[in-house]
Amino acid sequence: MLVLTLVILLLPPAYQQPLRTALRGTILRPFIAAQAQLAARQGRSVDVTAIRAQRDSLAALAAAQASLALENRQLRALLRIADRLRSQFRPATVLRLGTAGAESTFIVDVGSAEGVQVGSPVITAEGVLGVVWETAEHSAQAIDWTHPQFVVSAMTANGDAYGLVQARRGRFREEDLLVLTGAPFSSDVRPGARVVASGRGNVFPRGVMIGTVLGIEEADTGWRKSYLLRPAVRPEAVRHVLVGIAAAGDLSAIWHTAAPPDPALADTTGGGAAAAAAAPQPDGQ
Amino acid sequence: MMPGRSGSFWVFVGLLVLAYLLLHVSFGYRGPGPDFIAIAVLLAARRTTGPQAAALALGLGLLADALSLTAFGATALALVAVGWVGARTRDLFEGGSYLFTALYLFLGKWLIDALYLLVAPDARAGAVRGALWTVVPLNALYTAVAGAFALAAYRWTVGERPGR
Repeated sequence: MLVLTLVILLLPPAYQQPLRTALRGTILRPFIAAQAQLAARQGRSVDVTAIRAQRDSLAALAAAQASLALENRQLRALLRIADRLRSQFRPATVLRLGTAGAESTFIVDVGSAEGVQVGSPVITAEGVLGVVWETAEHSAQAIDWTHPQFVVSAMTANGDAYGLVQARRGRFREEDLLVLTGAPFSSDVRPGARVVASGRGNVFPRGVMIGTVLGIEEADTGWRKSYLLRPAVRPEAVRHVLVGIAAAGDLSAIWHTAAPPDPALADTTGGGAAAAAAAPQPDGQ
Repeated sequence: MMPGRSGSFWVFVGLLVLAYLLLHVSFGYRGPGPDFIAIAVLLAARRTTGPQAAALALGLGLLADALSLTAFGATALALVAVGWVGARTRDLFEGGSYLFTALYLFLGKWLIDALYLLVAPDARAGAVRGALWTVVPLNALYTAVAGAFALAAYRWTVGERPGR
């Protein structure tokens, strides 16, 4: 029995997924559905004002995104380039799980039937929340930014420094922060500076807010600097999100990001390394 | 186990599993609290053989792991190992008092969590070493107290004497 369990534990995620999906779709299904019902009821009765405000923000975000997409389409039509950057989002409700191993993850009530894919970005009106890791027909499981394997390609809002943002765990989950790593040693990012998604890797749209700089975490022997960030979104407080369902575009205007165009995005080979780093890797590698 | 009580005991185990699923899946509770699946496995281990306890632990462990993206099988492994050891403790300790049960559940839950932290990839990546001496004993304490109360309720319901 112990050997069998070890084999299951060491199986590649692709082989584990059917077993997990079967358990979720059968025994756990009524319990997950119960939480969805509870979330819906809570949304109707408890803090209607707060949730309405959150939904309004998301609606405004979606509307702004739609107008940007329209503008982009018109520009692309003028330039006769392929429709590569069309970005769309689906609103979704977040379900939290308390089982072992489900820390830093959440379920959204939209899935592959709605166009959600592995790697779809999950954002709120405040900024980056997480990325979809696994999809079912009408639901998907995602990791939030506190997950050890979460990485997003980032830049300062003025475009002075680029790097990767990862979680930095605190003693308690409420103390979890983000850290911008790989910034050039010559960079001088002041506390309070905004850090946004750079768009490299095509996971998160360029310009989505990630957090604000608290200070330098470490200066790596004259080569690199790391900056601690206060995250824009606290995962435990989120109930409604937007889930990307297509290739992401540029959302810089929504978060007032004034960075100049990224030279690495113009050169597709240059963005390759960052793209690989930022893309979710469900096999855990 | 007496044949007449076998059925009612498995209903009790089923209720513990139901409590776990309601608390952690339906209500999404993440804070410190009793682990009803650990209670179910550890109490069942005292009344079954090693292989039976391990089989139960495997099933319940996979159920608990079904929502884990990066540590599928870690809870199952911890439960199987501790469940099998729990069944073997009958050869060493005959205690049936509530104090003994609480101590047994405390140590069992602490071992389950320690094994989990050892094998779960996420646990290794995070700053959880300190948890072994902070959060884990707290959860073990909750589990021990809740398990002792649950066992008392079961015994009261079926008329079983504590000394068995």
